[in-house]
Amino acid sequence: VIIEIDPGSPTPPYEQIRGQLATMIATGAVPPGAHLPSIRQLAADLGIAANTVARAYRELELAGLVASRVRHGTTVTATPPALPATEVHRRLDEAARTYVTTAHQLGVGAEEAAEAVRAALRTGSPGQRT
Amino acid sequence: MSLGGFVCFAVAMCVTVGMVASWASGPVSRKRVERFARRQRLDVTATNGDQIIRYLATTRRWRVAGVAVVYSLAITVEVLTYQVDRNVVLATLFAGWFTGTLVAEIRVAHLARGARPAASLQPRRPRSYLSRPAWALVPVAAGIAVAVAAATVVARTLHRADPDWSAVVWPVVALATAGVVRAIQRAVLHRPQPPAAPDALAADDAIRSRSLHVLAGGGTALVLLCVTAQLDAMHAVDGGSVQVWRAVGVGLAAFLGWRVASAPWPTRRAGPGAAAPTTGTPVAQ
Repeated sequence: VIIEIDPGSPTPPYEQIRGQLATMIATGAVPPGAHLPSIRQLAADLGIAANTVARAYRELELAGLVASRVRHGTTVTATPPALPATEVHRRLDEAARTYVTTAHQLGVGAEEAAEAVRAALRTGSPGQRT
Repeated sequence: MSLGGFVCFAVAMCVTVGMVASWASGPVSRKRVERFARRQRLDVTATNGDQIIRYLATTRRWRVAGVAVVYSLAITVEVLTYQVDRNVVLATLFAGWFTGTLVAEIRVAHLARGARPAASLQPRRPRSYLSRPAWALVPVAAGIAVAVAAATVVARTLHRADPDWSAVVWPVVALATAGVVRAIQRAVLHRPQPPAAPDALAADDAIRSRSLHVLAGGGTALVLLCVTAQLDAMHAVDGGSVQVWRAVGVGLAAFLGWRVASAPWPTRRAGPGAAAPTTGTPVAQ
């Protein structure tokens, strides 16, 4: 399971990490009881400050998604209720509209844009690579 | 020392250091790569071969540099002071080699990050790279240093012996060495490992494992050598048996260090995060 940081995104890195981890926990990609990497490891791999990762973990802990214990690290506590199908479709639709807007702004045709999506699905996306 | 003798000595040193430097900067032999692959049970591929060669070249360069610097210093001091102590030279050479090892581990290349920084959620733990006993060796050796220091102080107090600097200095050196080795072991464990091709990741894990083994073996041996030096302080109050223990301790420390450092360890790489887009080229050394 992999998480990515988009350096060009207006969303702060800690929020990107928090959001991706929260989604993975919600979908069961990261199951309850799973150990998350240490703050230092994740920060080193992503090339960001340890405080950024620590903040993301803190927010996840406040949301009750993970628990941190000294010498035991951070573990996923429980899977929250699965997202309802309507909510999944709403989020997917929202992401698709954002993508279409970007494609239009770049002057990319429908077929080329669709091919880019198919290529991305083939190579995998954050949180789905194994 | 006469001027002529000093010139001869200086020329001999320059030639020696030059020959060592020339050997250390040469190509890494196929035999060394194969030995590395055999110890880690790693398949060397077109993707990870260069990565392994860079690692072996970096570690060899710095280890040889450490030995060369310390050897030059030791010989210079001995020539200037007219004192030759083979035991001191051997222990000092090992300390130089290990200092080079420590520097090399800081300088070893890590996998390059892609345009978008990414990370696997698979935790990297010591037990994935070396056995639990091997990971515990350095703190245990530090504990032995503290215990021997305490025993020495008690024995010297009971025998009302004069203060001895080695009873204080060597435990401090042993603990400092253990602390530095532990810090670098943790740095190796947390060396960045962005997603890469599976064989590049396997090589990265093998390199990490080999580094941790060498640090555990070499660090433990060096700390235990400090412990044997502590026994000098005990010798003044306990006679000949301590010298026997010291000789046994040096032999055991050397054997244990070599055994741990060269122990085979299959690279364990499986599960999530093992495969991802290929970005696996080593970066700056």
